[in-house]
Amino acid sequence: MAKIPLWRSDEVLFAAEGRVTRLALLKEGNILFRYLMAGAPRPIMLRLYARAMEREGDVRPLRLPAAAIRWPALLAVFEPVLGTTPLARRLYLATLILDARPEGARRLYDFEGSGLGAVLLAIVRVGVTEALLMPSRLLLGRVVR
Amino acid sequence: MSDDRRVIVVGSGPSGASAAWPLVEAGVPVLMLDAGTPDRSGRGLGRRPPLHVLRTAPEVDWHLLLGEDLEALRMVWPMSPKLRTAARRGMVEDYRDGIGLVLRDFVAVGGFTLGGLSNIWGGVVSCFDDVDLGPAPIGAADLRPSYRAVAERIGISGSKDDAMAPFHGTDVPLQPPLPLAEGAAAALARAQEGRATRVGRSRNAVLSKNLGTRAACALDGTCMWGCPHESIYDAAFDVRALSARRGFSYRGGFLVEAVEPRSDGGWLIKGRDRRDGTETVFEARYVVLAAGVLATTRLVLRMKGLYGQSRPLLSSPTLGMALCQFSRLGKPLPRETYGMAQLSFSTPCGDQPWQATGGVLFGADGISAPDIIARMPLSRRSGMRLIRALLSTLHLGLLYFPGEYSANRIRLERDGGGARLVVEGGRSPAFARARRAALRTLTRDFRRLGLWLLPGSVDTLPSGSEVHYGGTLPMGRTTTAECELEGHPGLFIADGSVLCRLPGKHQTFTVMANADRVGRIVARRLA
Repeated sequence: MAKIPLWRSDEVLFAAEGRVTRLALLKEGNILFRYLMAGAPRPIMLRLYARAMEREGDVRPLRLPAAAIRWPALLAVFEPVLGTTPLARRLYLATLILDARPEGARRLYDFEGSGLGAVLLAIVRVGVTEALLMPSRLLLGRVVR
Repeated sequence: MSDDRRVIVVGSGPSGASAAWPLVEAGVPVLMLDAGTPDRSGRGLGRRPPLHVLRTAPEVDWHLLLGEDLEALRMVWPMSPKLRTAARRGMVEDYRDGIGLVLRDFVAVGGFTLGGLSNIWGGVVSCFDDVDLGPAPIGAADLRPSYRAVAERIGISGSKDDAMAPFHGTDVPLQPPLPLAEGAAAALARAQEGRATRVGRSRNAVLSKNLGTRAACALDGTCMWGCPHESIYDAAFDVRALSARRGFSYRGGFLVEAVEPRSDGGWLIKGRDRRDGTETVFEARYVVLAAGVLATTRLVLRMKGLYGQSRPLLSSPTLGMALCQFSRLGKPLPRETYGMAQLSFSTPCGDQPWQATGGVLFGADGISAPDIIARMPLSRRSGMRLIRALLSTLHLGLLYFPGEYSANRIRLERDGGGARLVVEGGRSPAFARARRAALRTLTRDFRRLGLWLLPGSVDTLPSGSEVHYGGTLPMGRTTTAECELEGHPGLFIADGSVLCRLPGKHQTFTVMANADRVGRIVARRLA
């Protein structure tokens, strides 16, 4: 077997590790965006997410519960009520990416005016959802790290 | 490098630029030394479409909101979201490391950037009256000519016809006020005289008419990302204009590390180039320090050898809050808007004349929704749903208390061969009572305007994060009435360090006016 110089093998290993890390971040981003958008994100959003984490030097993927990986909507029960846990921080960055993309901005800004009825319905829906979520968020909000 | 006719101004922020102008106009050669460099993020400046287009177009360039290098994709809490969107990444961290800051319960915001903190200034402008100046050996009348000169130079829009005009000052030239968003206009229409809380338009260093090369506000809503039309004042514009004048020179990227007296009465300014580390010594008979409160205080304490001596650092304890205007439920977000403070208000927090708070209200549509959602106790998806429903009704408020309610301390400590500046934040025990009193009055009076304070939304910001601090080298004590350091002729201080008190108001305009006054004093000495 040909001998590979040490520096060369390090480089190969680092490159391989970088690819694995990036892949993990892309997968994580996919789950977070599916949770936020209730649908599939566009590849550019995942790339931005991975780049943002790499830019921050924060590349260790979150240890997400298996249930949340399968059903991203369940991430809601693992969100802390207040504070900046790693999950909360990454969800914030993911919403900033949504904010800069038309498919995300549609979910955040209403330039047409939905009317009073639709708005009241949305408020009631949020109230009921949050009341149901609160006990589990208080219990599990610090689990994901 | 000696030239005793030349005045050295340290710092390119609003105070440095304001001190330099009267000197240059008097024909005095000025060298401006600045740790900053002209490296603003420049996110789509000059080619950016209005905010509603960025939000609604089927395909937009994400660089315009996030930056070429994702500068805006980071968390800056508890500092202003404008630091995330408009400032260069690392601006604050570079500053802390550069001047050796150690912070305890205090958030220091500064930056080595051309124009200093005006890069992220919201442009809110108020004059100080005699009560606001406190025990200073000068009165509001001494500042009046300088207020006028600065206002004419930078351009201020606002009104002299509402209840807040006396609070902001009526003796400055103003451009017409910017048009209010529908919600702000509706609230202002319900404001009445005779209530404890006065409400009026905000007064802003933002153009409503073209001024020189700067264009009037286009109401495109992207203020938070840096104005593409240069409508919002930035001291970098002054430095640009000064650079075209004879006798002015600018040296950027130069961090002043020490100021030392020269044996024959002048001053040595020692520092190094931040890019290549080259050390240089400049000499001048007159020096104006305008490096910002913390950096200037550090230079003065070091020059005087005052290590280990703690002194007060005033700041304005500040509350953030969210208000809902239910009459706007279901209505669309405005397409044309000014994204910074629209309304201003003042409410008492005690019985004494100095116990007055001042505040501003922003339309929530001018900032990124994720910055609001992150502060909600809701799950992120519910937060998104709720913000879409309520954003058109939301106003975000900042309420500033007088500096008497702060209890920060600052001291210089030896650190090996160098020095570090230790800042310990705190608030006086009386703050809790003042907070309760102001909030009680405000909640009642805002309700009459149709603005409902959202339960749980009131948040006391960490000391210093409001970026209203000063008073470390006050006039009449450490410095003379002319802002010359006591016992050190020729060394002038022109930033917020010399303020004797901080009222519940934005102090930048007063600091600029005082710097203009200092520049005139130095010019007279040289004449």
